[in-house]
Amino acid sequence: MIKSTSKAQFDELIHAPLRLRICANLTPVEWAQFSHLKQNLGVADSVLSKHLKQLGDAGYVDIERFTKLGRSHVRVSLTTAGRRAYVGHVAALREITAG
Amino acid sequence: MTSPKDPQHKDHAAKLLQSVEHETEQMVKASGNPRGLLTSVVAVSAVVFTLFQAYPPQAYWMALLYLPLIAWYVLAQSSRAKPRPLINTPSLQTGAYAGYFILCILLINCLRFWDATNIEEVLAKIVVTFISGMFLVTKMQAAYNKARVEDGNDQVN
Repeated sequence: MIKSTSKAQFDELIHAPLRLRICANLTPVEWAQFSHLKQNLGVADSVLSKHLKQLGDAGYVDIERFTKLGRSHVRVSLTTAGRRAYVGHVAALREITAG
Repeated sequence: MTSPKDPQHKDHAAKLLQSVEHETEQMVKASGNPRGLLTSVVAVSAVVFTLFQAYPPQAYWMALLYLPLIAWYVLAQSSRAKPRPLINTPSLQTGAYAGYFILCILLINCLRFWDATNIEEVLAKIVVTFISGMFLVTKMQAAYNKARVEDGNDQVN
């Protein structure tokens, strides 16, 4: 396993199971479409929107709306602050399991 | 909510870590190339590689078989999440990925020494190339996916 680049820092906002899953899904990609994320997580639109809004309000995710071939899409990505918080939270979880 | 300081919640943290790895793996697979495309590329490459050696230059038109694969790749990419470029890749450069990549090059060079002359030998060479190529490519893909999961969960920038 490679060494974490972020200091272990427990994050209450990310710790909620679904928000942790959202971050874990977004972490290996630059962005994912809302529909793709919803399909991976197996949750309803409203539930995902609610959690994305909470993450967005904290500056952890960036939500971009765009139109492609006349259809509107929503693209979600982790911001640098969100990535730092997520990596720090994962490092904190590892510390708990190691300690 | 679980307190991070409480040692009795070790199991809970371990479960969360497992779930994080599982979710990241799911997205890595979903944002990667379809399995069928990878298999088709290896199959076409095995046929093209063998026929190019057995029947040059009549077999050069076989390279056109790559065109539908390119179209497939473009279509598959348009609806997928965009993979993040790997930032810190020690496991790619020194680990299993690099080892299987070297084995791939060795395999190609070894197969060039196999001079298939009749149809049975040509077919046998295609099958051997496909099976060994598929084995190595699958291993390389697994190593690459593992590196993406580690990179995603450990690297910020």
